[in-house]
Amino acid sequence: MNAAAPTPVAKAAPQPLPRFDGGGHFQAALDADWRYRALVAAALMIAAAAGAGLGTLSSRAGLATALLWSVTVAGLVARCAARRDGLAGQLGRPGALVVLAAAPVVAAMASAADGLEALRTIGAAAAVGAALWLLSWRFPLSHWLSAGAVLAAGAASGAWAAPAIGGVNGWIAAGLGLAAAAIIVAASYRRAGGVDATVATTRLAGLGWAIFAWGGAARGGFHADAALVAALAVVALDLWTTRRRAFAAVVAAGVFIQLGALPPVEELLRGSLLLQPLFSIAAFAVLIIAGWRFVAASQARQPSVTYRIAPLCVVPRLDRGLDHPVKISVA
Amino acid sequence: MADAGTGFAAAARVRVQPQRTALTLFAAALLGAVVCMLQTDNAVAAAGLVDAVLVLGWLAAATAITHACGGHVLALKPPQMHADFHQLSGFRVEVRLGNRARRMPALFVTLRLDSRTENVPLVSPPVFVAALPPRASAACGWDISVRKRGEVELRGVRATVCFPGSLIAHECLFTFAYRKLALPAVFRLDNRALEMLSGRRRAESRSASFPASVGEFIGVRDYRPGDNPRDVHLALSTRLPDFPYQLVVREYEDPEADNVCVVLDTLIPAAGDNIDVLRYNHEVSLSFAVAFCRLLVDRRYHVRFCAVDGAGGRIDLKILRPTSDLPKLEARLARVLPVTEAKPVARLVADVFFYASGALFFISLRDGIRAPRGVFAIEPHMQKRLVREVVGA
Repeated sequence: MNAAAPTPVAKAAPQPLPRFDGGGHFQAALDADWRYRALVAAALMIAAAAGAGLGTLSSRAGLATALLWSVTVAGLVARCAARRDGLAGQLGRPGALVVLAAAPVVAAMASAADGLEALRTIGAAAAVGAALWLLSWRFPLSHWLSAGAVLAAGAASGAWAAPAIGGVNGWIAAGLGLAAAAIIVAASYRRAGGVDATVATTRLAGLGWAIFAWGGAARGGFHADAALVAALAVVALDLWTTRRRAFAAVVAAGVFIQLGALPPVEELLRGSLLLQPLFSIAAFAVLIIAGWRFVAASQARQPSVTYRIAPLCVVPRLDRGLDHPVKISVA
Repeated sequence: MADAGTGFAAAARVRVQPQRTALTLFAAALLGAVVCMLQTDNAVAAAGLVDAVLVLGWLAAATAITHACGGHVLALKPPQMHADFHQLSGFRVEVRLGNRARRMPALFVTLRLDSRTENVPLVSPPVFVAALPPRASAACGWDISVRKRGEVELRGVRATVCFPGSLIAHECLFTFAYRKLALPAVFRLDNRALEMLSGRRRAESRSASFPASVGEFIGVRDYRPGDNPRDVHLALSTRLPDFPYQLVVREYEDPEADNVCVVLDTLIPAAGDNIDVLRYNHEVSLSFAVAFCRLLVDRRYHVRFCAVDGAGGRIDLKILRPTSDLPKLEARLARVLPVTEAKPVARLVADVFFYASGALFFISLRDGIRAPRGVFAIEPHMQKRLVREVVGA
């Protein structure tokens, strides 16, 4: 018998490669829902107000720490709430605009108790936001230029921290600064899009905050272990929120912003402890409403799926195709 | 939403599935709460305890809602599917999901269709039903387009009920079994395909003695030596530039008495350089063969279709009526496999050439073959030229 069973077609058959093409639709649905983004931003700002001890952060940790914290929180808000340019994690101009709006507000929440001194922090945060927004018109920056600038900033901050801290700890801080800068450059690099200055700056601010606030560099000492824990936490959260499709990342960002401004031993929240549950419940309620909208948008996640089954197919123009797709889509 | 009425079937199996993400979150929140409870004199720990309790409360509430509005109250009306479908054209699978509960709505239901082809499971994208009121039903559907011929099996629908944040999900399995056949793609041929018949039958069947005047006039063609001089169309011939050296003759046909044989080449060697090209040509030739037969039968020709099936045996079908015989041909060709040896195909062509009284067409997989005298080969480039449209693409 001349049977060729299983045929060559069948031999190449079992390659189920589902190509879910709904991620882009889901992201577009979230981007189109301005209420969702506003709710997320509101929840994170409520958490930031509570987490900064209702304006007492700068008086406890210094203006520099408050500024770094403000830019870090604004970066997280931008990642969770800004409209995206694409799926690659670039914030672009909308993200820079969110940082421009959020950074001064967070700075005000962090230093409101300082009276006129607070204006310095607010002004500095606004200046950082404005600089990023202006730079955003030039996004994406040239790879070599932005990499060199970020590396130089890391080296400069390390060199500045080393003598201030002194001793071996100073050199550890300098090394951490350089390593952080290298990580930031590597993490911010996009093959097609270049470096996003908003992403790089807010990441650098987060690492600076870890060294100043948790490492204790602002008070002349340095606790490498605490700084490392805080740096790892902020980088992990940063990377998790960069792809915004996980709502758990938004919740984690809210908890982090509420509880992580200073190490627990600083007792930052002692003064506002009576109001904390109210702020927590308010932020939680706003996040629940945002969660409903997130679930509604998730319907657009997988509108169709294509399977690659066999190496041949008949295509409309009678050209030779190299796969045998089966497409299933929601009617 | 319509009421859930008759025809609905309960789930064959309801399974409780733990949700790993929610469980991890629950464990983390629980751990955080315990740690914070041990440090309640610390302000951050106190605030963290409030957060942990809120998260735990949400997870517990979501689990309770999932259990109350679970899958045991769901019912499904299976799809109504009767006919097979053509590749590239696609078909729709539509089911109705019903909620048999008296008071509780079904919340956050996600449906997935289980299908299978060539033993490869294909899980559909989900259809999401946010809320289904008590005693109501909702229509859910999927469009499936298949670019390969063969069997597609529809095995059932999986419905998952999971309120966001729930530690468990209810998975209901509704089973049904439909085996649908993806028939070869529908080609629409250019009318030039009929021109292949022009003269070929007369030329090959000149020895058959039936008077030309009995047939139906179908057109004119150039005179060839051996044609009956009484068929010369004098009025047209005189207008030709090379008259009287160039003549045209009338051509007649008698479709009722005619017999066209279509032989399909299914030979694809086991090894070779251009195997992929041959496989592709094989797929195209199947659809072309059906389209060619359809064109001939629509013009009331009697068609005999022959091929060698790689699965064993020959295909020998007489196609007289388009409504009953063509579906048989399509269903047979949907399952045909190529052969790897040349001998059975050559023997088939010889047999058909010996017995056939009409024109013989050989739908080839290769360009530039030397067909025996009296056999007209339709090569792949010619097939593609004659296809006017691929339906459903």
